[in-house]
Amino acid sequence: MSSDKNNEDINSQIFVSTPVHLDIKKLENEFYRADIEIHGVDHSGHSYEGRVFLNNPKADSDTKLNFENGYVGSYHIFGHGGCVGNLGHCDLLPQRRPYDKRPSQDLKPQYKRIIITEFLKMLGQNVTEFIITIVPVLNGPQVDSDKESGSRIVKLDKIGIITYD
Amino acid sequence: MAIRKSIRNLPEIELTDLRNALSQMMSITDNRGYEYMAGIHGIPQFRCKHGEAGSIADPNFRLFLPWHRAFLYWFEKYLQDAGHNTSISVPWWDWTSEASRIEGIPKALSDSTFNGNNNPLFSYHVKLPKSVDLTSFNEQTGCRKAMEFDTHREPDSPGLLPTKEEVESLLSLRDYGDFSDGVEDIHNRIHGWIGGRCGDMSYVPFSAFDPIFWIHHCTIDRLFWLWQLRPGNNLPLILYDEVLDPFSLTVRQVINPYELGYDYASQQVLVNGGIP
Ligand SMILES: [Cu+2]
Repeated sequence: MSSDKNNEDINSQIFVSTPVHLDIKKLENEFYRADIEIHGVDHSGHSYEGRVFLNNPKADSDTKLNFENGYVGSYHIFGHGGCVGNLGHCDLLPQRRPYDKRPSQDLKPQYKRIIITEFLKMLGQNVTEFIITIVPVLNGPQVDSDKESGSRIVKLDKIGIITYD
Repeated sequence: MAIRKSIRNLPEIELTDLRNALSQMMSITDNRGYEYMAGIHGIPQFRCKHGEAGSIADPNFRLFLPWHRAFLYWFEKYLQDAGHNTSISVPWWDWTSEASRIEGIPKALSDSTFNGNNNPLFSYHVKLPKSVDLTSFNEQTGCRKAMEFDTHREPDSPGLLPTKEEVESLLSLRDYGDFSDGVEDIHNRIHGWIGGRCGDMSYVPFSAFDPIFWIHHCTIDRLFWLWQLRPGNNLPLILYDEVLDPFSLTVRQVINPYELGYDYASQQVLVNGGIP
């Protein structure tokens, strides 16, 4: 299940997904593992911690990191901080073109996953709609201007939940 | 065989040998030197492999661990050359240890001087090549990076370092792709913990200039080896023949550290056997 249109509040750096529909009670077999999958995560810019919450679209950088608040884990981005080369240096090249034996560059967007098996088993007893919130927290001590708009910190292609049985 | 040891347990004499070799390497400005070696990862070569780099679309196609193993091996060889001593090795830093969770970065790395000299494990003086344009970096990050600088760190509080439990749950992952992504994420976290908002470790283009980079990657390589040593854990075959550019090594050739001439130990105590 994945969602690709998201309610991005342009005044905030917090990413809130559109609802992901998933009825775990309708699954044929019990799953042994469930992940939040995040595809195409940009790492060309800021370095940050992405705090991931389930069904807590109001979460922000002050929200306590516990089960009650829907916190399911974090991913970490080791970014490039922008481009330090000449024009075009950071343009993404298509991967493995025919006859092109050069190795790929490092800027290809990344795949991130957070294992949420137990959490989904509990939460999924009562709900079939999941909203995924990502609160970016820049490295080091936080300052007020971090929460404002500016260059977008969390950039991704698709986000969703996957279960394995 | 070079034995990579925990930096907190490194005998004084070995720490001195390491510092001398590193200072020597830092003074070499050709392709055997520190700047050249660091420049393979970020500025100016950008050969590093993270995440899905080089991807065949397969969640097991992860070059992060073998590429950085080759990189560290390469670095260590030139470090041994610079110190004229083949037993010199890069130490590792256990950030889960009690001492680290109180003190943070070990003093061997955080003292700015030793015996009245600059501590080469603390900082490195960087002169960026002309090809670099820092405008977008400074604009985006709000940092004020200049074309010439001493590397610096802005470490976060020691209590925020990963715990033994977190490391154990990583090592217990059975799937290579899961493990690689998990250990890479914790590695990213340590980069950010050390570098903070504007420190060099926080950003790919600059991180390898900070001497702690090598110690950090030694820690990560050790976790990789500890994972490999658990029964049933293997690298996927699709990786074996991948070339780890720019090193003349394939993944297959870096699977076993013994074949690369090193091993890990928490400490090593030797006494003379009396045979001249
Ligand atoms: Cu690294």
